Amino acid sequence: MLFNSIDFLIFFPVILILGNILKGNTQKLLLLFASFYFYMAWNRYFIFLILASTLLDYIVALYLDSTPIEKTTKRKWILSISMVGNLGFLAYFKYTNFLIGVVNDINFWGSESIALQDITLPVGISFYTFQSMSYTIDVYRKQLAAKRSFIDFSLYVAFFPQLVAGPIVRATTFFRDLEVRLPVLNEDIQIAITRILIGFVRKIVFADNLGNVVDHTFLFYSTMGPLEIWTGVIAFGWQIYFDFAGYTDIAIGVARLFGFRFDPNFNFPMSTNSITDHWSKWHISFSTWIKDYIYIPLGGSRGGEHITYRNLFITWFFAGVWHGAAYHYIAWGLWQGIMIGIHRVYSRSQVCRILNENGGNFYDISCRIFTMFCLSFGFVMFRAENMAKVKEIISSMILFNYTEGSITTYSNWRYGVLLIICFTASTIFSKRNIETMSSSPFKLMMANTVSIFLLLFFGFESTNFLYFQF
Amino acid sequence: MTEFNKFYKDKRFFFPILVFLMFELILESGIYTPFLKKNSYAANINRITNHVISKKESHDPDILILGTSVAYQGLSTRILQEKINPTGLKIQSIAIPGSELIVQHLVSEKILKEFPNVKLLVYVGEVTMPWVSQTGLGLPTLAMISEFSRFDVIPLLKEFEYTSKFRIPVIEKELETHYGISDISYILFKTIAYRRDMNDFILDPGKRIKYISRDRKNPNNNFYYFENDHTEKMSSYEFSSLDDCVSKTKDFNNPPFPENSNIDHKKAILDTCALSIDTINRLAPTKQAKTADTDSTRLYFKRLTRVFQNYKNKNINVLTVLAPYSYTMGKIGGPEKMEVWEREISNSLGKNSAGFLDLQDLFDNDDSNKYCYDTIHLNKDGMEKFSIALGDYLFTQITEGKVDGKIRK
Repeated sequence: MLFNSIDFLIFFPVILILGNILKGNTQKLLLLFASFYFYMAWNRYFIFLILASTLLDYIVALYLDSTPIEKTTKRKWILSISMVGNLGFLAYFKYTNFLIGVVNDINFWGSESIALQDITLPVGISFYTFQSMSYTIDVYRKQLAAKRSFIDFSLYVAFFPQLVAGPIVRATTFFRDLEVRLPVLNEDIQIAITRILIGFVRKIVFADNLGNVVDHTFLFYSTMGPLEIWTGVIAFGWQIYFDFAGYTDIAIGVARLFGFRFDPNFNFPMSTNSITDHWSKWHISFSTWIKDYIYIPLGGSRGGEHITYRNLFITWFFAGVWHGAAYHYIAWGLWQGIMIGIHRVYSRSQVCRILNENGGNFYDISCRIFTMFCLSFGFVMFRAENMAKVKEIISSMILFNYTEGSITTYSNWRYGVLLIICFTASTIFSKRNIETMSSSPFKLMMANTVSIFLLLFFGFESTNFLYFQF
Repeated sequence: MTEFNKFYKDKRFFFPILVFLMFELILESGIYTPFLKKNSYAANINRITNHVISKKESHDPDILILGTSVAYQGLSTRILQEKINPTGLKIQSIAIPGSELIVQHLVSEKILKEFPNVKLLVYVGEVTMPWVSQTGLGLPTLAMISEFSRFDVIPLLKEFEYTSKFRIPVIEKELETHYGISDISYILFKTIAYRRDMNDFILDPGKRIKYISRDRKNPNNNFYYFENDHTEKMSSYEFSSLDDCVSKTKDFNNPPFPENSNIDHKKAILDTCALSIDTINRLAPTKQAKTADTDSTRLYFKRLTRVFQNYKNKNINVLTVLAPYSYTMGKIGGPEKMEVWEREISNSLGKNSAGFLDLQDLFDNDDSNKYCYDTIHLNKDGMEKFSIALGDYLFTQITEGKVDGKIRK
């Protein structure tokens, strides 16, 4: 079920009213069944996959909890059951065809190509698998006690606001709110509604409108000039940001109406002055997940420079693979790793120190523009359907493949202006958020009023959320 | 729930709602109506009907023309008036581009209240129309019906048997109603109905203001609202079939544009060719379609009967005219279909039928596209030919008293 659908418009108020009338276990049961219904609205049968994944981690966690910490090998074996199971599901549904494609591309034996399988990718599988796995790993690490209640644990995995596109909520956060139910006060409702409205504005007003120029650019790039391609590519960066941040805003707002306080997933990442800063503010629940469960277990930055860069690359390779089963996603992940690696070298240099101290606003703005410039190549890798297209678009962007078009025939200027406004507004608003805004009734009122009118005038038929495919 | 009660009473919640309602009230007052985008569906409804009403003193019609864009572009009210001038009667057109029967019904009601002298209605039917009778409410229709009183419109949706399907997720059950949530919101709230228009206004206010001021400087002093001045011809593309038409125009953005054609013309041809293919394909597989006795045909005539009811109640006679169209579409109105048309028209009008004029074959087979703008609409030459033919027919019928005795002055 989409947040931006009539189905949700009916589903949500019903569950909200019932959820606030019921208390204790009956409320949990209601939320659990509502979550299952929410997921089944997309596909009835894949609910069994969530249940299988939930049951696996529930049992494994209980078993891990009851196994003494001294029995390290046994505990590792138990944990590996969860890893194999979860990653097995993910690998089958998400990566089977990719792996077949890789085998076909390599074709060692010169035999006939293996036929691709007709596999439907379950919506949100990457999100709930990571969420479920993190719980089991936390129990393994003794950072968390295993949940005895199957209902509680199932609700953690399947809770509808964040089920299909995150944020990837940590078990500690979720169970904290589930066990000690804080009352949903008027202030919470105000903030939640504002966040939901802002989420819809980001999605329907900004992301969907920018989608027009993005789709056009990635379809007709061969007939476009470099400036138009740059506009389309940067617009894609903003589109995916607004789309995904919008979804998580709605998810966080909806969860808050049921008494769950999830951490923000985005913090104005599009006007940052470095790639490291960008990733500390973009899809925070994911970047902290890969840091905590991949980068640090690999050794993080503790094993010397070479090991650190190796760990960075491995981590970002997996980040790419997580996003999609295709070469261009892997290229995207590795590109992030390269940028972070180079920035790491630069940030430790004398030049950086001097410029940081003396560069002033000019240096700051230059850094922000340069970060966007570098990120743009990643946007191409993320959006293009294959590496050949990535190569062609990037060639046009860096004028290697200049065909036609020039500044004088720049037809995307409206979007160019919109992007500059987004960039400026993002820089200005990055120091504020909804929580601080709520202290001023006037600001909250204005935010809600402006949101309603933006939705009215600039929001039309909405499309699917981009991150559903992951 | 106490906290939710506090929430509703909190000014942070109700202030934006209040602003929204005030804005809605402002739009309800009609203050925005003159600023509607030129030729938008909502604007056409207001401008055409208001123009006709504003000319009441100088031009109080005895004959009304009702129809869609086929009549709007295909008939010159000026020529028709010239033709019937000797009879002393007056003719006026209330044809609305893109109008379904529900819209034509609402327009008729509005106009007939103002013009009690109307004695004859010329209904321009399209032989292709019944087969594409819409069951759901499309945006153009919503835009047009929302210009009328919602108290009139909502019950009509049931009468005209519009359906909206809602699928209940998971249990996969389909509910059928006469209107969906989005349809009813569109009809109930002007803010929703006008939001696309206002979006366009906000994004390019200069263009809108320029149009409005030009319109004020040069008011339309003619008794008729519109006369087709499109000289573009479909024949300049030399199509051999509808498929050929689509393949030659699908890249409508780019040249070649034959002499006296342009991007809009090319696109209109593409759209109407694609629509015609769709219509014909939908007809092809069933035997029922051949005889035209399909569900959509039945629905069409049921609705048409409802439209005619207004005229019958006022004892106004109805002359049904089938408009000419491009032969690229092939022969759609075969004898079986004509039989259905005549039977249904006769059933719905009874003694109020003033006859049935089939002008589908007005143009010669080989050069029909010379008179067509696209597969459905006529160009200036076609309009003149169609108007002259209808005008002559009307004049003869009136003078000979064949339409109805009472129409003769």
